[in-house]
Amino acid sequence: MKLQIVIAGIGGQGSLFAANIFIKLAQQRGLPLLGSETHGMSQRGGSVIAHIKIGDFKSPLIGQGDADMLMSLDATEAHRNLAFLRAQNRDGGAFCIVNIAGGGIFPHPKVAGELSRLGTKIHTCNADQEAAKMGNIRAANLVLLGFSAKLPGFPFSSEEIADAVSSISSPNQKKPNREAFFAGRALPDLYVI
Amino acid sequence: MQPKELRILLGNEAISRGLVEAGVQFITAYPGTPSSEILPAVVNFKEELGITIYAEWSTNEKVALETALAAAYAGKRTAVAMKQVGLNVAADPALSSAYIGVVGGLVLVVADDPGPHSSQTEQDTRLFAIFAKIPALDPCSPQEAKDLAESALELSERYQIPVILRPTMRVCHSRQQVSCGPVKAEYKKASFEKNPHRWAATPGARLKLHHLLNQKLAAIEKEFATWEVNKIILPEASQGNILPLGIVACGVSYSYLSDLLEPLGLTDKVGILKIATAYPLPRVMVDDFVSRCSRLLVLEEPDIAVETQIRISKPVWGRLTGHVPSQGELTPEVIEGILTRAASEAGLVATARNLDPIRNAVASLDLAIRRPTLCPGCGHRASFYALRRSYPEAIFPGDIGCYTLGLNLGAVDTCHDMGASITMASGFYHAYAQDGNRPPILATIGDGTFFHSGAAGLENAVFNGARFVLIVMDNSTTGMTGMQPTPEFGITADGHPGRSIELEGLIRGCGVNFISYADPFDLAGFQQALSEALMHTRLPRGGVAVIITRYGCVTQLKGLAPTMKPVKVEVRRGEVERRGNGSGVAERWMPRHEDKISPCLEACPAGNDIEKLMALAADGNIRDAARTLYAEHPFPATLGRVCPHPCETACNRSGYDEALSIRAIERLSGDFGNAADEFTILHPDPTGKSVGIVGGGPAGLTAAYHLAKMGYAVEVFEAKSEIGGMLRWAIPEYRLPLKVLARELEVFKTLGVKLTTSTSVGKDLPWSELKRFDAICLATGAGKERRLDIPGAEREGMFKGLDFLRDLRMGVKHDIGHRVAVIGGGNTAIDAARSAKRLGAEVTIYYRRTEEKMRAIPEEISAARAEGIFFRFQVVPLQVGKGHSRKLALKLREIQSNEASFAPPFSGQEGSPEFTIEVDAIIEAIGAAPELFYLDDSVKLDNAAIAVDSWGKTSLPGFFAAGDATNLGAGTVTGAVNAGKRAALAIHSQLKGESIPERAVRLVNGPGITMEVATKSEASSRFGRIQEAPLLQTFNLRSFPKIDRSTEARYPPDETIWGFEETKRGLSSDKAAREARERCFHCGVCTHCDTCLLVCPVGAITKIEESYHIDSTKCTGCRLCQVECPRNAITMPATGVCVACGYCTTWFECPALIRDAEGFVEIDRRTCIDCGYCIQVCPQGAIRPMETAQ
Repeated sequence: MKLQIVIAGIGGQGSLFAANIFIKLAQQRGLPLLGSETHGMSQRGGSVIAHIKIGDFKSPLIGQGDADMLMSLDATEAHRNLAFLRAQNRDGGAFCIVNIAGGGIFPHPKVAGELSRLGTKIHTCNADQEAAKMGNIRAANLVLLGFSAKLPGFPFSSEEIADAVSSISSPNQKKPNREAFFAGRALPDLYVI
Repeated sequence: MQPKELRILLGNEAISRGLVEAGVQFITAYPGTPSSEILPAVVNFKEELGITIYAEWSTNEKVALETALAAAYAGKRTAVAMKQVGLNVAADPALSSAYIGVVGGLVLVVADDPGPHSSQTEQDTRLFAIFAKIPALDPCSPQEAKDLAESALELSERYQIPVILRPTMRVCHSRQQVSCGPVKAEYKKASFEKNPHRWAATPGARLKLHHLLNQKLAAIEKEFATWEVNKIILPEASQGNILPLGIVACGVSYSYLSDLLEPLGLTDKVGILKIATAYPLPRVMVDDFVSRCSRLLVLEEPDIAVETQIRISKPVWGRLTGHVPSQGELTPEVIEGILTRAASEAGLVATARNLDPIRNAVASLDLAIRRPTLCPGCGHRASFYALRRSYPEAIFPGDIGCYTLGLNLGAVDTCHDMGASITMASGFYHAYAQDGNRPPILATIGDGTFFHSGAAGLENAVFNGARFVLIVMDNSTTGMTGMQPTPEFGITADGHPGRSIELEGLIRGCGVNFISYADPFDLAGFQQALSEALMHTRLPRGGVAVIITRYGCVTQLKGLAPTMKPVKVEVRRGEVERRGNGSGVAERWMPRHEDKISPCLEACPAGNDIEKLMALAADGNIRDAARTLYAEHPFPATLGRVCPHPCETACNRSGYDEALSIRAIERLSGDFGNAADEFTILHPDPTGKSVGIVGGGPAGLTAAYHLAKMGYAVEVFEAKSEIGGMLRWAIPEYRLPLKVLARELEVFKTLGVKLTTSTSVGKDLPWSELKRFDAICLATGAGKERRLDIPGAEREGMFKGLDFLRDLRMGVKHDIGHRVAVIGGGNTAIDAARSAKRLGAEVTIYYRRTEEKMRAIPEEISAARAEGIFFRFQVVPLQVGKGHSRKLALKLREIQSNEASFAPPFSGQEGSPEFTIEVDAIIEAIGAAPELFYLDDSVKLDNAAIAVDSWGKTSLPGFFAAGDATNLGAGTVTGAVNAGKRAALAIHSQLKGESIPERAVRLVNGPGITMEVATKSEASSRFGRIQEAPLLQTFNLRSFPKIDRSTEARYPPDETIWGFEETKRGLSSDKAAREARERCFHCGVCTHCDTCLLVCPVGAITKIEESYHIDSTKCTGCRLCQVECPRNAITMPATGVCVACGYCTTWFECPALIRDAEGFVEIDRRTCIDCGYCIQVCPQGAIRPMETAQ
C-alpha cells in the first residue's frame, strides 16, 4: 500500500490527534511510514497541518498534487490545502473529507470546477454540531474519523480505526472518544452533487 | 540486553536514541524550536533503560555548552542541543572548543529552520561549522539522524574534537520507523587530567592547537570519504559516459529528490552524490563525481555550505547561479521546479505536472492568513492590552517567547534576540535622553528569557543610568517551546537535586531599587502600577523600575483548576443608531469634550473658580491667580485665612489621598495680589445709576464691589467709624491681621465707592434719604447680642462676646483677670476664648450641647484645645454671684439633654448635678440677632430678620438685603460674600430691566456662582451646560500617583498664646505651585493632556489650535476616550450594548471574540475559557457576566 494523507485544521481542534490515528493504523498493519507536522503554533490559533505517508517513501513532506486524501477539521483550512490533492488515476480520485461546522461552505464555487476536473471525491459533514450534541465539543476530530470510516473506498475499516482510537486514547478518554467515533459513523454526507 | 526493535520516532527522538545507544552520559540544552524535544527524549530513554545520564536545562546556550565541555574534558560523553540562533549565543565557547578539543565525545546538536517557521533567521549552521572548524553532519531522515548521532559521538571521542550534528526542521519533526537497540558503549568515569597548555591555552599555545586541529580535519575528511552515508549513485545505463546532469543532494533535500525522480521521469538519467558530511567535504568523492558529470546542481538548505566548497571549472548550479532560491524552504514543490529547469537546461526531459489551475483557484479565494495569537485567558494578553491602552505613545521593546505575540496588540515594537528587550530599552533611553526627551519606554520580557540573558543587560542598564519600566511576565515556565521548567520553577530536567532561584533576588542583584507587583487581570490596578513605575523613572533618584506580573500559563494549567474564578460572559445587544451612511455611530452617540463644574467650585459660597485658580498657581502665575479671585470678590487674603473651606471638604482628592490646600493658595494669591492695583487699570463705564448699601460688612462690601465694577455709583453707609463689619470688629488679630484687612479694603477707594462712616441709618440718616438711590441693599448684619437671662447677669465682670472682641480691636484690653469662663459654642465664643487666653487668662468654654453640635469651625475648636483652653459640654449657667476668692461665682448645671435652651426652667432636668466655679470674668457669646430698628414697616420680616428670596429681594420694591441681617443668614464671611454677590446680580438685573440670567438661576442649587457664568454670554462661558460636579469614581486615577499634601505651617501653640501675631504661616509659592501642579485633578475640566488623542484606537481625535476635534467619519463610538480621560472632561454616557466598533477584536484579539457579518461581537463558547477579563475591555460596558437564569 502507498497512501499519502494531509490532515488540516486550526490549533486546538485535535488535528494532530487525528494524524496519530493514521500513524497507529500504519503500525497496526506493519507498514512503513513517514510523517511531518507543524509544532508550536498549534496552541496559538494558527493553521495546523500534518502529512502522513504510508508505504515506501523517503521524504517526510507530501508534495502538491500527490495527496491521496485531504482530511480537514475546518472549511477554510481545507480550501487552503487543496493543491495537495492528486488528480484521479486508475485507483480513482483523491478523498476530500471536510468538517463544515459553523456555517462553513465547501467547496467554494471558485474551486468546485477544479476539484471536479481532478475527480476528487468530496464528502462533508457537520462534526462540530454532533460533538456539541454529545457535550464534548473537542471530540469533533473523532466524529470526523467516524464519518470517514463508512465512506465507500475508505482505505481503513471501522474496526481498525476504533482499535487505533482505543489504543492511543488516555484511559479516561477511551470511552468518550469511541462514542464520538461511532456517532460520526451515523452522520449524513452533506455534500450533494 | 534488549533486542533491536522498530519504533516510530520523531527525528529529534531518533537523535536522542542514537546518543543514548552510543553511550551519552551528560546532556545540556536550552529550549528552542525545532530542537526542544531532544533533551526530554534522552530523559525518557534514560528512565526506560535504567541508565545513568545527567540531563540539564541550562539557563542559556552558552552556559549549556560550557557546562558540557567541562564534562567532556573530564572524559564524559556529552551532548548539547539547541536551535540555530542558540549557537549564536554559544559561539564564544564553540569557536574556542574546536582548538582545545575534548576527551569524552561531545556532539553539538544544532537544528536549523529553513522557512523560517519559528526563528529569526534561516542561517546555515554548516557555514558556522566551516567558520568554527568543527565537523558537521547533515542527516536526511529520522533513521539517518539516529545513525549519525551515534557516529558523531564516536567520531568526536576518537578524534577528540567536538562534532556538530545539524538536522533541519523537517528531520527534527518528522516521524519514521527507526530501529532501536541497546546501549553499546561502556560507562566512563570522570577523570580530569590537568593540562593547562591545553585546557587553559594561551595565544601562543593556541597556534600549536590550531595546527593540531588542521591535522584532525584532514584525517576526518579522508574518513568521511569511506562513510556509507555519503554515496555516489549513478544510472546503470550510463556506465562510463559523462552525465548531462549530476545532482549533489544534502540532508532532507536528498529525500525529496529520491521521491521525485520517478514522477519526473528522471530516474536513470541523472547522477546523484549524496552528502551527509557537510564539513569537511570529502573532496575525493566530490572530485570523482564531478568528473562524471558535465554540469552539477546542488540541492541543500538553507544556504551554500556545500555549494561554496565545490570550486571547479564546470557549471555548478545552485544559489550562486540563481537556480536555487536564496531564501525560503526547499519543499518538494520548489525542488520539483528546480529539477525541471535544470533537466531542461541539461538537455533532459522531465515530465512535469502543471498545478497552476488549482493553485490559482485557491489563490483567488484570497484566504486570510490565520496569524497566531495568544491563547484565550492568557495573562500576557491582559498585560499587553493594559500597556497599549494606557500608553499608546510609548516605545515597547519586546523579547522572544509566547509574549512576542504582544505584537498583535500593538505593544511590542522590537524583537531581536534573547534579552534584547532590556538592552534595547536602555539604548532607546540614552538615544532620546541625549536630546533632552524622555518618552515612556515599557519593555517586556518573560521569566524564562530573563534567566537566559536578561541579567547582563539589566546590570548594564542600571550601571549606565538608563530609565525605563521593565515588565517581567512571570508564568514560571518556558511557554513557547513547550513549557520547559525555568530556574524559578526549580524542577530539573531529570529530577536531580537542584534549587529554585528567586527572580526578585536576581533583579535586585542587578541593582534595581524599584520592584512592584501587579495583577494584569485587574486593569485599573495594573494601570496604577504602571503609573507609579513610570513616576519612579522620572524621579531624581529613580532609575529602572521593574514590575513583576505573576500568573500561571493557561495552557499548562489545562485540566487543573484555573487560577481565576470562571465567569461566563455575554455581549449585550440593543438598538444602535448609525450615521446616515451606515458607518460609525450617530452624532448624538459620539463623545463631546464638555467642561463640567468642579466640586470645589460647586461647594464654594464665594464662587471662586478654583480649578482655574489651581491651573494658574501650578504655573507659578500668582498674579493671574489673584485676578481670578478678584473676579468674584475682593477678599482673597481674608477668606484665605478665615474661611472654613467647604471646597476642601468637597475636593475629590480627599477621597483619594488628601484634599488640596485650596484655602492656603487663596491666601497666597490674596497676599501677593493687590486689588487696588488691578482696578487702576480698569475703568468701568458709568451707568448713570446709583446704589446705596446700608452696612459696611462683608456682605454689603461684596455687593458694593461688584456694583461699582459694573459701573454703578455706590455709596456705603457704615454706623461705626470704619468699614469692615465682622472682619474688623469681631475676628481677632491672630486670625486676620488688621494690616491685611486694610490692604484689601483699599480697593473701594480705587473703585470710587463713597464710604460714609459713622453714619447710622435711622439715627444719623433718615430712612427716606435712601429713596434717592435707584436701588438699596440692606446688609446690617447681626450685632445685637443675646444676654443670659439669669440672676446676676448684670454684674461687673460680665462681658458680651462681640463687645469684648470689638474693644480688643480698638486697643482696649479689659481686665479679665486670670480665670475666665466663656459661655457659648459659636465662632464668637472661640474667638473670645482664644483672645482671653492671649491676655493671660486660663480659659474654660462652657457649652450647653455636645462638641459635635458646636457651631464654631472645627479647625478653630482644635486650635483652642491646642492652646490649652478647656471645654465642658452639656452644662447650662444658672446664676452669677459674688465670688469668694475671685470676682464672680458662676453656678452651672450638668444636663443630659443635647438641646437645652438658655432659659429656665429646664423641663425634666431637675435633679441633675449643679456646681459652682469661681472666675474673674465671664464672657457671654450665645448668639446675636439683627438690629433692625431702622427698618421701614413696609419691609417684611421673617423670624425677626429681613425676609428675602434667594436673590436678596425684599418685600419692598427696589430694596434688597444680604447676609446676617436676612432670614437666610450668612453664618460665615464666605456666606456673606455669597449673599452680597447674589444681591448685586439681582440689583444689576433689575436696573437693566432684565431678569436674572438663566444660567445663574440654574446654579442656585449650589453655592458656587462665578461672575463669568452669571454675566457673560453662552459662547464664552466655561461651564455652559453642565451643572453636576463629576464624582471621583468616574475618573481614571492611573495618571495620579499619591502625593503628600503640602499643608500650610502653623506656629506652635505654646509660642503663639503670648501675643496676637498671626498663627498660620501660609504656603510658600513653591509649595503652592507644586501642590496645584501635581495634585489638582482638574475635575471635569479639560487640561489638554492629550490622553484622548493618544488612546483613540482609530486616530479620530486631533488637536486644532488648543481645542480637540473628533472626526465623525472615523469615530466608531467605542467610548475609550471617555473612559481613559483622567478627569471626566468628555461627556459620553455608556450605552451598555455592543456598538460594533471592533475595538475588542482588534485591540484585545481574544480568539473567543468573533464578529458577525454586521460587525457585532459574540462569544465563541468553544474557545472561551471564562476568564472574564473582556468585561474590563469593552468601554461601552456591553460585555457583562451572564445572568444566572439559564
